[in-house]
Amino acid sequence: MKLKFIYLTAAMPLIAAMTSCNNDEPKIDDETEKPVITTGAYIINTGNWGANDGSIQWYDINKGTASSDIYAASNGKGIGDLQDLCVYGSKLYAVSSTSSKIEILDKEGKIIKSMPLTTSDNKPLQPRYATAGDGYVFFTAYDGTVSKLDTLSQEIVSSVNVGDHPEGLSYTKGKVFVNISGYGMGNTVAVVDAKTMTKVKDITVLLNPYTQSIVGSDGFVYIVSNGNYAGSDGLEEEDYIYGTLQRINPDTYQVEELCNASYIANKGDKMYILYSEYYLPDRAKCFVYDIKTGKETDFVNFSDIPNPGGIAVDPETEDVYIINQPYGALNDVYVYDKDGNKKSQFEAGQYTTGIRFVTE
Amino acid sequence: MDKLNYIVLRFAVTVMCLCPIITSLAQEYGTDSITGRIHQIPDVTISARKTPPAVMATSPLQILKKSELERMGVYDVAEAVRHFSGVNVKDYGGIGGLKTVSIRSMGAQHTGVIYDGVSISDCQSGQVDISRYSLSNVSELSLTIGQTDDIYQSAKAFASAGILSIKTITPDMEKGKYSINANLKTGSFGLLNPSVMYSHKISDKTGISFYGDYLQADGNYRFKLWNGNQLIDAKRNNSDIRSYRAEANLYSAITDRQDLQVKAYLFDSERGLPGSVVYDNPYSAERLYDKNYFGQVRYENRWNRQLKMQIQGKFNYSWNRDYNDKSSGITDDRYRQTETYLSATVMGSPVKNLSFSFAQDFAYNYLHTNLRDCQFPERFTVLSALAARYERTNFSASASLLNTYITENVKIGKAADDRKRLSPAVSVSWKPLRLHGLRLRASYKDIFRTPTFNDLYYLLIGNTNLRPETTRQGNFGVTYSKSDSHKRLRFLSLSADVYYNKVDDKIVAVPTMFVWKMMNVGKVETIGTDINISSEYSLTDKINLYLTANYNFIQAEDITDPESKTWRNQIVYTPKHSGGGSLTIENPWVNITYNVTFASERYTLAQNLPSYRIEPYSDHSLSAYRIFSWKKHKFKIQLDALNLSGKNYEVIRFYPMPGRNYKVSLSYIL
Repeated sequence: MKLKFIYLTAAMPLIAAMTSCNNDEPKIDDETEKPVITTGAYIINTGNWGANDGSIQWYDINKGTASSDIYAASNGKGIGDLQDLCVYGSKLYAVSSTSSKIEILDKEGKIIKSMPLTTSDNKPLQPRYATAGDGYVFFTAYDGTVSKLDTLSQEIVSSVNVGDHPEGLSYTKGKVFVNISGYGMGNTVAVVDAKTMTKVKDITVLLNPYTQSIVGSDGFVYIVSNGNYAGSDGLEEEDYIYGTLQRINPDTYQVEELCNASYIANKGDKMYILYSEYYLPDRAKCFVYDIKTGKETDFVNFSDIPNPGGIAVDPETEDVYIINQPYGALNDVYVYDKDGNKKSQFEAGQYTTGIRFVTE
Repeated sequence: MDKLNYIVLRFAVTVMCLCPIITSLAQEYGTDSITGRIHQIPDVTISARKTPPAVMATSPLQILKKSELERMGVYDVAEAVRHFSGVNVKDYGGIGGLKTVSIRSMGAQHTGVIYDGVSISDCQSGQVDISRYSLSNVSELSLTIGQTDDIYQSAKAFASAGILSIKTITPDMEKGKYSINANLKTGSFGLLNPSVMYSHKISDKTGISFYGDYLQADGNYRFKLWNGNQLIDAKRNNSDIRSYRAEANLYSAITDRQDLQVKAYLFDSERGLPGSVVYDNPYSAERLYDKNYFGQVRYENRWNRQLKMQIQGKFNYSWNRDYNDKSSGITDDRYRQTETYLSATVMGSPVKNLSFSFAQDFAYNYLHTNLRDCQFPERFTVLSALAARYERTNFSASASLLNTYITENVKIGKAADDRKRLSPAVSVSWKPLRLHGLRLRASYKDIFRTPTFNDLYYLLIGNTNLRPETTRQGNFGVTYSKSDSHKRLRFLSLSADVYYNKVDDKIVAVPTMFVWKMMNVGKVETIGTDINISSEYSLTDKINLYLTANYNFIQAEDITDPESKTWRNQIVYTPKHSGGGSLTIENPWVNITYNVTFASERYTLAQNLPSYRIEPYSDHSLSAYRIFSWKKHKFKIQLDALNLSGKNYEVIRFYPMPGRNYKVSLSYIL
């Protein structure tokens, strides 16, 4: 019995030793094969909140496969989160919101310049979305500003207050159109003169303009307001504001309500639209809206995508990419031809929110 | 058929893991080497020949008494609970970090926490932060998995998958007129923690006690963490804490047959919430302010040997404020919740060996917040529990049936539907050989957790259509114990259990097209083994060794959808292998204790991808203490070195734990 006891006593540190960890070793292998950036798209994986699992993948259209994280492969470290990625000129502008930085990357994802962003009193700026034009990148941030980044000097040259919680934005005709979400309470699009960086106008739109803001093939600015969660408790039906696509004339600032929408992608006259209302699941649909005639045509069966989270269209082939975000697992991207026939699918990263096509 | 084979195979593997070594962290029977006196453990019959309750229990029961806690050198409840088998303490790191207990891979909301007989509840989050409870005034910690054998309880004690029970010190009426226990702890990260307990015997029948403690720490420890090939070598910031706690108790034996206990409790704290380590952004400004006041009363009347009754009541008020200063502006959220609770239990033993109890509870909860669109929910809970117990030396059995009825109202919007449910539990223990200390036990419990107010009503995320998250637990085990104060191996206790759990309608936040939403989407199947050993060995007349160890195997798999990428993956934050141990060398000079806890790899994502793996860890610590006595006065000095390896291991990803740190504790006992 005595022996047994000593035996057990000795076994204890042994068990501990067996399971003791080795956190002294880095995790990223430098040997990772780097993709060749030619014809394809960058996949924006935002990652989960506070989990540092954002990433950038390269999707090779010819091969039909997505690479591993090109940022990690090129830099030997993770990016943190990735809110948006703006492809402009020969460079990428990666926007990290929780990591509060903008990084200028080469096409392979290697850091050229990293810019931590803080306010004058040292709070993280939390940049959100970016767009580019005329040699500048413009980005929104949760301090309520839009900033202008000179792509030549790679410096932030100026910024302007636009409103509470600015989100998606687009650039056309020397002006930046910024969705002012007001954390769900906003109903304006701020117009900023890109040259002087002054706010020239607040355009009233439907409640809660959020991430979607693009310049259509017709030169108009298209934005989506998410509305007020129609169908939720305590809301009368006459007060419902559905998710709605609106068109803004960039010269007259006239706003036109077009159709229901949550996520949009444009190619030619076609606006590819994903639409759902959480509390009114019967309204969900995926369709094509003709921006000239206003005609709606069914695209794919909404229920074929278990958990849709975004839509993009390839400007060359007109293939449509729809993001599926399963819970607790890597996201998938479904590829359809322009008539809505499914061609393929590939696996993306964590919480995929966007796809940026690169056309040679 | 394939599925069945698979389950059978897994069971077989699990049973094989079940080497015949085992335990329950049991009672101590040693003598104090310094004073040579037998420890006076209140409320417990001290006899080396009596089998400890943990061994006789029909469902896994583990007990840590004050003397053991002292011997192990642990200071807070969370540290002690880590030594229990079958539990997982989620620890966000640091002195002020949130710590919750989950039993056998069921979420923390399935663990009921009982403080001196009355449950602690949080209707908002459904989980109890055990970092708020100090061990200084605790006499006993116990953990029951499944249904406790003690049927003389409130109905609430039947209403969770497992119970962590905290019992505070009751003044010892046999002793002198008053006693004082003062303690001062200090150590790394600016820790300062004085506490004092004073108890006074007013009359032969009445005693009072007061307890107070203060804790402060800056908590800003250094840590190292890899981002790819880049080492982050930084300091946590905004991890400070300051808390005050006070308790007053009145104990009165009104007559020989009636007891009254009254307690008032105050807690007030302010702490920084450092958040997870975010790459390239160390900023943190979130502050949490807590106030928690409660009063509770217990009255017992033992009419005769066959019939007794207890009535318990509690009023709880808790307030917290979550403040943050970000570039988008200041957020300042306030939450206030109250609970009014009443419970009555009657127990009767009409015939020898057989007893019945009926418990009736009522609780009212209310939540008030300053959040936009707060619905101001209130909840009425009616619990009724009927239980029976049959007990003989070689056989015992318990059965209970709990009825739950919950109804809710809101001031704005729609309230969740009423809930009604019957929850059964049965358990047996059998001692096949009369002279041999071997026992077999089996138990089954079907219970659920109600969705919390956050699950139901939180802005946008909440979902009033949620169903309760149900659990079914089956356990089979063997226990063995023997004790003989004349032999070298004075005491040995072993236990081994295998179990099968199933969680249905798991409540999780799921991303939808716009918002994260609480949904009933998960099913989890768990197979596991808990093995414990506890022993006491006398090396010489003056040197004693105490060893406790536990090993847990748990395979908790997502069985929600065979088509999904997470099918049959281990659920998040659940190590397959974990355990711990404690070894004390008690001697006339300096008592030394070595503690270890370990856990194998865990995953932070439902899909067990390599990039979401957390490294295994082991945490080692050493304590040394000595007690000096002078007349009636006793002094104790204790030194601790914690996390000896110095590694900033992670229990929760991106919340690195403090590295090597030290504590000094001085106590004065009169």
